[in-house]
Amino acid sequence: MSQHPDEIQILDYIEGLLSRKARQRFENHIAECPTCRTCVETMNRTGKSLGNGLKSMADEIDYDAQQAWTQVTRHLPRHLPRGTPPSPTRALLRSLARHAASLAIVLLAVASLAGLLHTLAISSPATKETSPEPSDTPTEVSQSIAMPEPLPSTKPHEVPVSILLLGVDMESAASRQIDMAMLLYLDSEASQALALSLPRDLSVTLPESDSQRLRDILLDTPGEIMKEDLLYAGRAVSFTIGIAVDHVILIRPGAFTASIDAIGGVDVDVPNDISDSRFPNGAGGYDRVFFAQGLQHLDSESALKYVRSRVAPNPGFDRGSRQRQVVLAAFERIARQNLVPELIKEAPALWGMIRNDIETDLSMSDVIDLALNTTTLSHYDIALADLEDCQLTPESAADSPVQAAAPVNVKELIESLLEKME
Amino acid sequence: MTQDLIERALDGDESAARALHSDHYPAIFRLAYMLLQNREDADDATQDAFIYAFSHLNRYNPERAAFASWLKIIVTSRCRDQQRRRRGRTTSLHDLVQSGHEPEDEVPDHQPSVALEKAGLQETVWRALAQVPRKSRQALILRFYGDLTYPEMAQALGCAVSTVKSRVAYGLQVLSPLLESAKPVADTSSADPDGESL
Repeated sequence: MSQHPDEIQILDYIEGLLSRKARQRFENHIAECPTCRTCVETMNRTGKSLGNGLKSMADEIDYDAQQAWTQVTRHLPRHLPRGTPPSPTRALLRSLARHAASLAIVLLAVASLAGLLHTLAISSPATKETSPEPSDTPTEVSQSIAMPEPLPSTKPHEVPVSILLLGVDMESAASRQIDMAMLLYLDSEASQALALSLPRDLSVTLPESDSQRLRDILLDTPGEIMKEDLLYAGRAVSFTIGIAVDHVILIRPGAFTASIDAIGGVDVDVPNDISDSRFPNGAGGYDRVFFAQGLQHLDSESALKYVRSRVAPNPGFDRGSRQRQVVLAAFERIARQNLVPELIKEAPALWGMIRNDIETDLSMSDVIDLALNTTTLSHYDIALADLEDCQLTPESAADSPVQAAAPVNVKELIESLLEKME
Repeated sequence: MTQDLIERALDGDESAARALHSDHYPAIFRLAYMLLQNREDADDATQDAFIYAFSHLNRYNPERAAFASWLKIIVTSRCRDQQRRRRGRTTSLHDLVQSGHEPEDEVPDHQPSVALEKAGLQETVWRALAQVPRKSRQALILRFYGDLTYPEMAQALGCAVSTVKSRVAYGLQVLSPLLESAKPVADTSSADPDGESL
């Protein structure tokens, strides 16, 4: 360890949370660095003093357990609820847990849907005109199910977990310019989640490198996008906004139609008529697109138009808000209409269609955990926010990189959003 | 033993439920009191926590957390609810330490101020804690009194593990010079940074 450890690493050391290798490096460092050694000793001593003081203090607090029990019993049912059998969906999921590929697709389909819709919503006019290419047929691909490179779990599964979702642009499957970035924060224990949109022009930086726009962060890496590239992007975003990024998922456009068709489209409540006479048709011209006010069922093609149209009938109902609306509608459909078993059944075919359009560092066990956990959330549990709307410094020029607010503000934003949901 | 009591409670054995309550009530109530600094609110939060826990006992999974930790996570959540409700009518920890007693509506004999009157480590710790930002104080109390793990604390506080670690590390950094230099009485002239209680 050449650099001085930060306070989190010192805490991890004191708490015995470092791996054996990291611990060895840490101890080698403090053996030669009296400053860090003093920090460790001081923090350790402070923790022990605090613990002793608090426990001694607590012993002085008296209580009346008898009275408290009387109060509790007034509110309890005569018979405590016995264990109920798990729901059919959950039971099926558990029984299929060994089929990692099948379960993985559930999460990735949801993720790709959310991510690609966002990609489409903010993609540039030049790239919007390209429609996703039809996917391979299920029969061809179902013979060989290939998952993203199985990787050992990089860390024990923690709750909550944050996932950086990156969507590359619509130009081609080989493109690596990022068109959308979204931080998904999932806390299944607390039954809540947050999807925080990040501007693609966000200026990101790492201590060892110059700042650059988020959309360009993968451009400099030659060849195939590797796990290291994804983790680099994750670290840069994490360092910039001050929120830990546990995993990264990169999604290409091809997964969009397959995912939305797989769930049978989405139902959205259109608050105002949308009439767009200049919707790019992909052939250099324009089509007319119309969505009537009221509850509408959208197939993949209509959903695509719904989130891509730039027409905003009134303030607050722009394509960004429509994108979020469709993300929720998709999630709602999957979670509430018991589509998970159906998706699992069709997973090999679906995976075959989108397998080349998703890259991730997630291990199989992570994916299984996430797939199981995310299906317990309803759309009421998901907060949506856009970093650009409320937490960024003003842009000095139209094309300037967007500077993130201070990390502490981002953390406060997330915490306040989650607290509002409780 | 605890698991046996849980099973019996779920089978309708009220004495088992009562045993669970009496085994865990002191630690849960004291944790709530530490977090809220108010007996009435701590009573409410603890009561809510046990009602919730017994009503959802079938959902407790011993593979995920010890029963005591599960209860601490629940009561912390209830304490956060209480804090949101009572904002605007709180007494800061700083004020508590300065005055040496709790507000008039508190029961004089049932409060941390009893300890505060005793010089030494307890008083030093409370005075120092009063100068730590609220969220860091919560994290420190959960870690060093509640003995929760970091994932459990993250769950209790509704934030990421890394956030909890940052709060604990920062809190310890703030506390270090205060605890090291305060022998035994610390300066209480600076205001509570949040202007509110834990």
